[in-house]
Amino acid sequence: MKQARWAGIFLGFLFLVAVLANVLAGDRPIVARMDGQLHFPALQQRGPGSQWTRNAPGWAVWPPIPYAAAETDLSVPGFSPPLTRGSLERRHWLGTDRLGRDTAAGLVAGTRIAMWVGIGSLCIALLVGVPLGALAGFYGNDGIRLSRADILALAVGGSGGLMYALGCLTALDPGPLTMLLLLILCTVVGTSLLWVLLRGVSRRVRWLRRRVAVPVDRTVLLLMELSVSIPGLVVLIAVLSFVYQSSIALLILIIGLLGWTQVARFLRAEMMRIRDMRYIAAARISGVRELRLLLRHALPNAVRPVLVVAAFMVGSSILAETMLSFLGVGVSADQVTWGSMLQQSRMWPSAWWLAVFPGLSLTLTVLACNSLQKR
Amino acid sequence: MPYLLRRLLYLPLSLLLLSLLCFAFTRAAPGDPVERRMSSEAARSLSQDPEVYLQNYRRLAREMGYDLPPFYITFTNAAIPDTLHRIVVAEHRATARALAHHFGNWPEVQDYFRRVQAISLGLPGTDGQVVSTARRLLLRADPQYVERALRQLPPAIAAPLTAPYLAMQKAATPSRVLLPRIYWNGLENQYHRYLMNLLRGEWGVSYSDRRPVAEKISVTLPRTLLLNGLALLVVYLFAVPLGLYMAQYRDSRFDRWATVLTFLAYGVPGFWVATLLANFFTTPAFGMDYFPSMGFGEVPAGAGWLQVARIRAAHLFLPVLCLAYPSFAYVSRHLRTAALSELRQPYVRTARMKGLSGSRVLWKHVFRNASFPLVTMLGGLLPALLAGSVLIEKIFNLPGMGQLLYNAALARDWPVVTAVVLLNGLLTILGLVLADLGYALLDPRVSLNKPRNP
Repeated sequence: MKQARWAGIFLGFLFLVAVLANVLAGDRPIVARMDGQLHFPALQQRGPGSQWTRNAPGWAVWPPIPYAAAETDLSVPGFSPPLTRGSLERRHWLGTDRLGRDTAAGLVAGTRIAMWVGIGSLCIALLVGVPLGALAGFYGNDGIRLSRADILALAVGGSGGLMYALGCLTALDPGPLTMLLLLILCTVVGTSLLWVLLRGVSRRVRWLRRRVAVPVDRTVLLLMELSVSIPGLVVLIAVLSFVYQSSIALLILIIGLLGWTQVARFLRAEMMRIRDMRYIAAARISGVRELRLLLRHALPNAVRPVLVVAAFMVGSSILAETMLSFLGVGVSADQVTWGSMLQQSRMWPSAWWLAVFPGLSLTLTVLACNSLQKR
Repeated sequence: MPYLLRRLLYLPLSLLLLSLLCFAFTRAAPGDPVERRMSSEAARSLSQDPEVYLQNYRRLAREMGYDLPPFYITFTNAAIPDTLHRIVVAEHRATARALAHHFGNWPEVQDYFRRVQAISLGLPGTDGQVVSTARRLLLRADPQYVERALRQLPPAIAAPLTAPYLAMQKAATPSRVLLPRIYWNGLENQYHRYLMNLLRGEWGVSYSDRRPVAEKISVTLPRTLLLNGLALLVVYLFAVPLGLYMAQYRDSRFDRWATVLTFLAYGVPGFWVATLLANFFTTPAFGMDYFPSMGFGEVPAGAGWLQVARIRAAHLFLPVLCLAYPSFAYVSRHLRTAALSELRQPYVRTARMKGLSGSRVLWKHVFRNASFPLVTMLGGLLPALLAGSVLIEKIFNLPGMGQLLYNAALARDWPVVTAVVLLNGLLTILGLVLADLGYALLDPRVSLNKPRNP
């Protein structure tokens, strides 16, 4: 348990570094006095940073790493070793890369990106994995019973509405957000239209009124097996190379979408255990509605195991991001990440500082995430 | 349905889905595949002789199947005809589609577009100004742009373009866009052809060097399999004894150290260690240039097997080490847990009481029962190794399938990328199925028809 505490402290520290990245490393002072006024340039990040170095203010408190990650220091040769004095006698604590970019500042910027990727992709994985896993585990194959008319309305009406939106409304050339809204709207409208129609019909046709079990569990399992059989990293490389303008948002989205199965699997197992517990049966007998039962009684008790997987997922998505930026796909070339620094060290093997420090931060992060996952 | 049968049914289903994904990506990818296939002389004729260029383009597009509808079914709206795919040039097709979406009356749009196409060929007798405008209009559908371009021409010359444009504008029925249409294209479509070619083993032609993809893969696949096979061998050869002895000497100093070390090994990213090792031991940067820095090694003709083994070992030692050690840690930790629970069973005590030695109990009784998870783990290990070998091959400059994928992805060489993705998917799924099969075959108690513990 001591191990887990240290891991938690380290991850909290990383999070702090990510939040305070601008104060920790940057080419502008934290506090500066100029023209008799106090300025906080590091918090505002407005205008080019060089204005603060050129017209030296009266007094200033500089960040401990006085360089920005993307700033190239032309006064030192490329691949300067640690503690080299750069422009204005400010030290490069951990050396520079080929372009004279500060390694320590790159580490801080890389931490921010790693945290974005870890937390963002986790959120997406949770967004997809939690509903599917919870439904599959809690209701199983016969927990949800719907009339055939409802199922037909959902399946045919929903997909019909979706197809209509894709086939016809894309022609109107809406923006991406409007398109998303239109897609949802059309699906809902299609479902409800068919539902109303079938409601009328099913008064006459008994077959439509018969309630049948919806095999939620089987469907989710099928989805899981399908996504597991996709080779993750390989697909990631392929997908990211399709996009010309690579962005972190896309990277986060794809890593999250590939990772939902882990969340769903654990939550499903936990829900299967919980649904047979006596307090659920007691609540059901005392008249708690099914949806409330799931959301208020079962789900809160299943949070802990999911949190454990979540920690592991954060680690593995950060690892995936580093691997991708090491390969040079995913994040754009001018962005400094742990992976891109490691890649630079391959170009110039003597620059050990470019291999050791980013790798060490990555390793510690992954180890911390792994040890939060109790074995 | 029996579990195994279902599992075997999933196999083609997943592959089908993956192939659909790959196909969709190749279609959606930026860049015109026909143009990339064209020889540079043919491409140059675009400016000199558009008619020849168009002929070349059409011939090549027909060869590659780009004159077919993309999929079995087309979901679209009433403004778009079912014959739109017959406009083979991708850029022109996009213009025609945009025009149809805007005006909604296909006969008139078709009339206008054909006229623009005919004039853009620049047949003798047409005015040069009109020709250049028509060529621009082939690529632009924005009505304001079209009108401005037409207004800039002298009215007398522009008449053959203006008349159909006005007719199109007059009879516009933009509301047709809102009517849905479904077209059934039959089996003669691009996806069907792509799928059939895949099944026949024709994986397409690489964009970058026009060599068949199958040939490229058949060169690189054995190398990657050698690398991964060796790694797998190392994993199981060393992880099994370690895991068993860790369980046997539970809570001893050996066990505690091994637990910590395997935890570290599992967490420390393999590609970082590979980077470090490659920087330190394969380059002269630190005076420790002990290992060769690239390739699988040249084997001289008539070399004895010992020499071959020595050369291969020098080249493959570090890559296999880096590829194997995370899985090694994973397997040994799992085996330790499994063996621990077996050691508590009464049959172990019985065997000990009968006077069997500790190692005999461990290897004959405990190992057999604790080894079942090892088989299922194999299924999960295979994709991880394959993915890991992309990085390892990149770092140690091994020209295997991972390098092939990486280079193809950077060069946007989609036929190669999709082929490697599909092959990887196939290997992954086969690994999962084989692991399940092996599990059932080894352990007679396991019935695959029963729902397994999640």
